[in-house]
Amino acid sequence: MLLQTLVTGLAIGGIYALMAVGYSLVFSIMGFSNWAYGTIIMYGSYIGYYSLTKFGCPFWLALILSMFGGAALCVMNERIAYAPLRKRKAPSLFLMISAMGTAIFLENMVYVLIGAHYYSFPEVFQTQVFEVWGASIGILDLFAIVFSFTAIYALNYFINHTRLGIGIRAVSYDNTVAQINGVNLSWTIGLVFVLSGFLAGISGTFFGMKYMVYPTMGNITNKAFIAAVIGGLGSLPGAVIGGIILGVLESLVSVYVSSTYRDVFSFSFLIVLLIFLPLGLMGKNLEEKV
Amino acid sequence: MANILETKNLTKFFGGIVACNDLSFNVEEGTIKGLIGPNGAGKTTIFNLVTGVYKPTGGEILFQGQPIGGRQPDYVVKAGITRTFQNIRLFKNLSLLENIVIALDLKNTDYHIFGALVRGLAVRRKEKDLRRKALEFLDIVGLADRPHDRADSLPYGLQRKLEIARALALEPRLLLLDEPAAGMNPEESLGLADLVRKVKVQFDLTVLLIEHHMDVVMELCDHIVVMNFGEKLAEGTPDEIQNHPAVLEAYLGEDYQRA
Amino acid sequence: MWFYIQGILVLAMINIIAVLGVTVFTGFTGLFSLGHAAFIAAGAYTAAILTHFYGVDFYLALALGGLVAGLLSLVIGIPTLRAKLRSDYFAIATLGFGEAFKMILENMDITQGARGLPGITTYANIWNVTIITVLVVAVTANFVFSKYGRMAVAAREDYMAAEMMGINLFHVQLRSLFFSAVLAGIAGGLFAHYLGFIQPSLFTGSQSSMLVIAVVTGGMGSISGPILAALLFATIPEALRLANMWRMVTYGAVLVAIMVLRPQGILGYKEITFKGIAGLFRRNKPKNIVDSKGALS
Repeated sequence: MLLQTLVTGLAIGGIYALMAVGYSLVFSIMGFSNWAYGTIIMYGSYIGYYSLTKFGCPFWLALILSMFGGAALCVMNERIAYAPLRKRKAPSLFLMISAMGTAIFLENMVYVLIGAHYYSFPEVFQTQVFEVWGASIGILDLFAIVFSFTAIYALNYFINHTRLGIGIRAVSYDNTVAQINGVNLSWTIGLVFVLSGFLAGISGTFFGMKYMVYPTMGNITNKAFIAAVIGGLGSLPGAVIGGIILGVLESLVSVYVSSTYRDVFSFSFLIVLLIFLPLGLMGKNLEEKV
Repeated sequence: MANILETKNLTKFFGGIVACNDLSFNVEEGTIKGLIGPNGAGKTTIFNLVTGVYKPTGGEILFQGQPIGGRQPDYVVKAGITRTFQNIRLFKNLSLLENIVIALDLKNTDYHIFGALVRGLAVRRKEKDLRRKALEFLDIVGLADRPHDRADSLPYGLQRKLEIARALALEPRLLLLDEPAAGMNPEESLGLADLVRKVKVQFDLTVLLIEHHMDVVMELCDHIVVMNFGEKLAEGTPDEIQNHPAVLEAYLGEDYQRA
Repeated sequence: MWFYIQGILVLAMINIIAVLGVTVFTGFTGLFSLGHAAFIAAGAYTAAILTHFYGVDFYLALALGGLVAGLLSLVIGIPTLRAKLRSDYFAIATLGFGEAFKMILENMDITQGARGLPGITTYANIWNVTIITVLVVAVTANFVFSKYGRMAVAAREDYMAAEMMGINLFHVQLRSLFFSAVLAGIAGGLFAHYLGFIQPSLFTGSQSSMLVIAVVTGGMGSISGPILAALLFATIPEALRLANMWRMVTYGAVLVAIMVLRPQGILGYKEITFKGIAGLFRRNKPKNIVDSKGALS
């Protein structure tokens, strides 16, 4: 029973990890919380859904479409709602409000254009189940875990071993110095949002496949945020760990305590964590020089 | 004369960096003490430790004989120590008058929340007095002619003066000035020195001053502490410091000639 | 027709009371809350339960509702503000708190859970709501123009400089939170006694967001700005007969547009005063020309 719970937790944890990394990427570069991220994940889910059903695409194509759809939306979001503020060096509160506005706009666009129905993904994977040490794990979950970790590994490689990736890291430490060293700020930020969008598309599709597709999925931003904070905002490995921890904890709470209060638990856990461990497990300490 | 401020073996680590190492010095009441040293010597760190922005890693800080190390900033201010900042931290979007009024609030508004919400005659009168008093403080630094201008519309030198006026409005016993003459030309620096001397007498203050303008330091200070790499290098009167070999070597440069 | 307009005005004014609370908390103290609907709910349920089950006088129940909402704010406020959470962490904490509180309401016996409380006597009408709203506006203005308001603004502008003014950030922020929660609670009580029926699903995160949107649109640092914005939000969609969904889409777009084009909102740091309106008509405005030495020329 416990193993099963852990395995289920791991599966959802992988998806949370993807979201948390996407979220943390933007946070470490732009220094603010992208409240609109959840709605983009939701759009990724819808794109995946429609590709599969309306357009009859094979799964791999639907996944790619949702990835690129997510990336496109993220970049547009950045250019319209964040770039003007960033150029004005507006306080991060303003960026947050703009993000909030974007989230409200996007979420309600779905309501008016598509409606409030809950959609179910068609069965992509057979409902075959593997037995591992007495616990069963569906192919979907297995695929999600493997794919998530592959994506994160690829991202990590990109960030640490390519020129563009190093540019991203430079910007996350110091905007101005990075620019002096030849990094094009606008392009780099755009790239970060593209990557973030990829992750949004993938995680959205997987999440939709595992559960359902509906407009208020945007609330998942909170899970992404919680996971990123547990691991420590600004740390990508932390985000991964945070995602897994959150998934496993939620699973444990669902099974052993109560599933209705699962979300209350997540939030309470976050609040308690912030009070005692404000930087999460691996977060960067940003002390202001007076 | 009693020591208004004492540090004893004051130490501050930031991870592996030693900002302040076993530092002990005193400030005598009613004097102007200078704190000098190369950039990065730890001078502003001392100010931050005294005003509660940083918690000491070790050692003690005593103000009028009472320990204040590790206390919150607002406690330290209420006890009677105020400061200005190296980078000027005025309330930029607010007016000159509002900047002073906020400082005056500390000791000049003894009404409570219910009184404030009802805003009876007593409160209204207090508020009017507040504004009158604020204009007086602006007048001390020569800024009473434009009370409603935005603080950031002032030229740099006047912003520094406003910050000093604001620190004075808190009715301190000890005033910490962090590079008040920074960015000023020689003429303005002397004007600033005059101002510091004037307010010290007018408000019966003790002043601790971080400064790089040596003319201001030698002019104003009764006593000087020299720091380097977080440690005390030397201490003494301006004459003694100017001729101290270690100080000359580390900081003033061997070519510095006494005029 | 008059009845219809009355209805809109009453709801608009109740909304204004809540918005004024958030004005103090977000507009003047600079803290971002996404969970104020919880305080509205707390006030609504407290007042409704007191009048409906215990026959308490309406106005006393309103006051107690406000008080309960205020105390509730301390529950979330004290731990989070003491920990000096930065703005986005704090916002998420308030969001979580709002959601958690709603869930608790849905599972309590005394609140009759998700079914809600029907049959509340409709004590609230255009007259007492107007009087209460005017009083709240006056009290809010008094708060803002007192040392308490100034301390909040200082804390918002530059927290470190504020601390150097002897301002205790924790006390200031908690005070603003309490004040805003009490106002939200009063608004909730009025709401319950106007609608005659309440249930947890009325008090959503969306409602909290709307309060913030009104404050940002009206102008952070202004009292009349958010009041104006709240009135506009209450009346314009009605006049245009906008369907609910498009209304929210528009609000989202408006919020982004304001941040990008005019972040100070409609009135920014200013208020609608007689002098100000007269100023709009004055043709020759006095100019301050200051040269580099700081002398007036």
